[in-house]
Order: sequence, then C-alpha cells, then structure tokens
Amino acid sequence: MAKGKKRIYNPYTETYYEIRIKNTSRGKKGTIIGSYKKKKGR
Amino acid sequence: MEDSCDSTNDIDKRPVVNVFLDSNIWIDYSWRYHISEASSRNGTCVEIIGEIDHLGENSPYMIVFSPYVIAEISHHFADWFLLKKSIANGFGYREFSKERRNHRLEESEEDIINTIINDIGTKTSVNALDIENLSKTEIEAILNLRRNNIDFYDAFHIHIALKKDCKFFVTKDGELRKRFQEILSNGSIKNDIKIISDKVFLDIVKTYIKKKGGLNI
Repeated sequence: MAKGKKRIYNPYTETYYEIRIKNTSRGKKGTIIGSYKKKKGR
Repeated sequence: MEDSCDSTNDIDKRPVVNVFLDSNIWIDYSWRYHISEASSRNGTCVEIIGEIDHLGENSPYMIVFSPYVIAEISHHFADWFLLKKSIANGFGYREFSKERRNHRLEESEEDIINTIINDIGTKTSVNALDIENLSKTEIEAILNLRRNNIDFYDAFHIHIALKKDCKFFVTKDGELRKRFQEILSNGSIKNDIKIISDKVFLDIVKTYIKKKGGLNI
C-alpha cells in the first residue's frame, strides 16, 4: 500500500475503504478516496 | 506514490477545533439525505453538516470520523434492511435479534450503506481516521466509561473524542449528555471538552458564520 494511504474494513458490507492521510497546515487529515468489495472466497 | 506530507497552501491557517459528532447525528443526516424523500432534507443535523460543508476549507471545525462511527452507522442501516426482511417473513420485532442471522444484505443495500460512508468520509471538514491499536491503558479507559453506564459504542466514541482533543462532543442523546457530564464534573477526565446537543452546536456554528470570527469554545 502506498505511503500515506490506509484502509479500513467494514464487515457489514464486506467493503474496504481506502483513506488518504495528508499532513496539512491544519494538522493530519484523512479522506476516504475510494472503496472496494472484499473478494469472495471460493 | 502518494506523498503523506503534502503541504496544502490553500487551507486556512487559523486554528482548527476538533469536533466529534456522535453517530446519531450522522444517522439522522443520512436518513434524511440518502433514504428519505428529498423533501425531508431538513432538521438540525442536516443543517449542521450543510453549514460546515458550506464553509469548506475555511471551516474552523474539523469533524472527527472514526472507524467506530462507521461501524455504528453501518450496524444501524444493516439492521433496518434486515428488519424489513424479517417482518416480511412474518416475524415480529421482538423476534428480530434471533431472526436477523437468517438474512443477508442484498448488494444494493450494501451499496446504500457504502454510499453513506463515502459521502461522509469525503467531506472537506471531515477527518476520517484510521484504526489504531489500542493500548492496555486505553482499553482500561474505555472499560471505565462502561462502568459509568456509558454504552459500548459511546465509550469508544468518547475515547476517540478525548484522544483527538475534541472541544465538542455533539449528540442528540440526552441520557449520554447527562452521564458524560457527570463524569466530567467529578474531575476524573481532565480534557477541555464540552458535551452538547445538536441544537446548541448548530447555534455555535451559526454564530460563527454570522460573526466570521471567534470559535465560540
């Protein structure tokens, strides 16, 4: 995973949200930049 | 490669006040904005989000949005969809806690929940937090809130609000306000934080917008 990006998992929707974390003049700020479904197992 | 230390020159340099909006604020907003008819897009919670959103990068308020809030919002809407299925199958509300496990969310319902989370997490004045490992001391602090009759989700929310040095914890839950205020009054928590209702916070935001100065802490 690229530096400055994190992801959190939502078990209710089996979805990962990708969060970009930036250091700004107002402090650290995280923004959800996308989401994708967990791959279903066989 | 994403740079984690971008300088963002266009962001206002005034100090920012961290604010924690309880999940009930986001749930109210999301009901009205994503589930109900467009004509229902009113009320205190919608106004709060709308006003802060409108301030954009000039907002003096940064709303802390934690993974525990994401979990509670998702839990709420998942239960709503599953309850409808359960009732359609002839079960009553009281049987729901057992019956819910026999149903799954449809993809379209999961998409609605994800749309709600994405809508919140992409707002300019929302700081979406990553999950962090909790230390033993933090777990003890959360359990201590539980011992003071704070619900489990609320204990996590309060813990995050304190950890992120929030000046306001905004909730529609009058019982939670009363219980947390008692904890603040007995001096066991030293943080400078106020627990207030959605109506009081909306007044604070509106006063700020009117005066365009002072953070009304």
